[in-house]
Amino acid sequence: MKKNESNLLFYVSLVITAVFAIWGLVNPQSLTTNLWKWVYDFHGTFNWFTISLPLVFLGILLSLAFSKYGKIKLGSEDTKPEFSTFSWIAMLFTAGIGVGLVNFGVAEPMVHYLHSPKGLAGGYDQIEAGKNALSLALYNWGIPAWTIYAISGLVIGYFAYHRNASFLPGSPIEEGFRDKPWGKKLGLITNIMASSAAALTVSASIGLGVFQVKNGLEAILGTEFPGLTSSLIILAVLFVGYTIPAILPLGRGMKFLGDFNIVIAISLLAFTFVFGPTRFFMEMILSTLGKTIIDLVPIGTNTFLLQEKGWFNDWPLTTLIWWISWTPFTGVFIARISKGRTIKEFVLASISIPTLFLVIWFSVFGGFGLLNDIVGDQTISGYVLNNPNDVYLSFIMVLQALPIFKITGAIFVVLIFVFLSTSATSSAIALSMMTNNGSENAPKMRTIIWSVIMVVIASANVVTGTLNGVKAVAVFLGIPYLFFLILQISAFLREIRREFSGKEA
Amino acid sequence: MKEITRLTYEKGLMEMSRGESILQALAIIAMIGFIIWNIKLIMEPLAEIEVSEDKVEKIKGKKELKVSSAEI
Repeated sequence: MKKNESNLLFYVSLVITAVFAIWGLVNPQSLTTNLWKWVYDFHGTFNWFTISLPLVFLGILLSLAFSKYGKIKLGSEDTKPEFSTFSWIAMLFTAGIGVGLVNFGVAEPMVHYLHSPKGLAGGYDQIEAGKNALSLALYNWGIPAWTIYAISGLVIGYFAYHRNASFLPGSPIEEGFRDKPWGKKLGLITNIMASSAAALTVSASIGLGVFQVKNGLEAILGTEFPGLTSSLIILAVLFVGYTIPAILPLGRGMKFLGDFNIVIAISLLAFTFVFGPTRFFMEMILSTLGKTIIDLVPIGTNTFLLQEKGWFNDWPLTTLIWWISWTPFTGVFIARISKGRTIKEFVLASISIPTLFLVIWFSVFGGFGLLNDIVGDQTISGYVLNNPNDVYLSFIMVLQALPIFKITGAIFVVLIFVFLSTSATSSAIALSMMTNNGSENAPKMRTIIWSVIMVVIASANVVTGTLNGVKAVAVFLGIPYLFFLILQISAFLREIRREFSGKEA
Repeated sequence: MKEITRLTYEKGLMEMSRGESILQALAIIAMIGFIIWNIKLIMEPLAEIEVSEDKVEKIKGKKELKVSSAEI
């Protein structure tokens, strides 16, 4: 990409990001209502498409992994992986899921349990509703989510390492369709769309995370922090926390954050596992693992025919589009850290390991919430039922029910903080790379500029409380990006067919 | 992202006007067309891809030639 094209990409993305941010600030109600209406119109017309898409992506990835193409390496034959397998998985995981793990670990299974057509609202008994709730949560967070990330990372990585293309979401289209007159233009539009979606999506997460950290601190200290000062201080600390690793060399900053996150998350999980009802957790993990695999096709093809679709729109469809709006930066980031991995290794590890971890995570934390409803005092389910707009506190409620909450609560706050920093760091790096010719090493100045832009949008949201507007934008931008993602995949399939036709990979 | 989405815009099929129904049908046909187009792109015969690549290169070459003559 030439320098003027790179500048065009940078400035147009900035303008689009600013337009949505200003609209959200000036008239949040109009932004929220209009964008959600359009998102719901899309869901209403294309739910059959969105819900089944992960199955199609999974079919493509597995066919590649177990064919001659599985042996293709991301890089030359003698390229060695840049990061250890543990660090690679840790970075994949924290960049891809991040803070959502703690936001939704308890809340999401509880919502499905209470409100989904396969839960209590659908007439199921408590035990069946509980099992279904975890399997639905895992459809939203497990194999489908990781399939979307994996396919995006693989496509960008393949073109970067095999065709010397830039680390840009638009590169596969530009390179793979270089024989088409529209290839280059569409590639540029993809990059613009991707940069804006990534900036807004992460800003929304940062804003949400600020409230989470504040909630956590209030619960640990047993005191309230009214007013905006505390939120803005948290945001300022967060800004420093994600900007410093972003300008350190990738190997140091991100590797440290990735490893740190996983160690803290596993510690919290292990604590809950040991001090909670361990035998129940073991039964729940096995049951959820089985249902996650068995229910993949039934859920992926269930359009809740002729049923009321409020829950279906709110959760499975919106979550899948939400993942797609994250792929511009997770795809670039995953591609960047996966040098030296074979397609088979990449596909199998990047889908199965995070999913397995999530099965355990949701079974333990979500399972605890369900148990609290079925045989306990129903405080957690009662809270989720009565506070549909702030279900996130349910995670803290699980920790509060266990011993030494002062310590685990503090760990929870650190976990949110570091998870958010990791997502924001990887996003700032990816945005910087995207808007600078897709260079392999992100230029520090652009990384800082994007870091500042993200914190400005997040602070504006914290001040005006318009998080929902930015979230609406992120999902809204995910819809057109979905079509570009499909074109990227087509370009990739076309390219490997061309490059390896008739020869052993 | 989810809490505000409790607002539901679900519209019963029977309440749809003729115009809305036609628009929806067109959108679905366009989506199916997009899927078919992608399959066609993937399955394009290899020889055809190379021929188009040459064509694009030739067009690019001509443009560059024009620019350089104009510059001269």
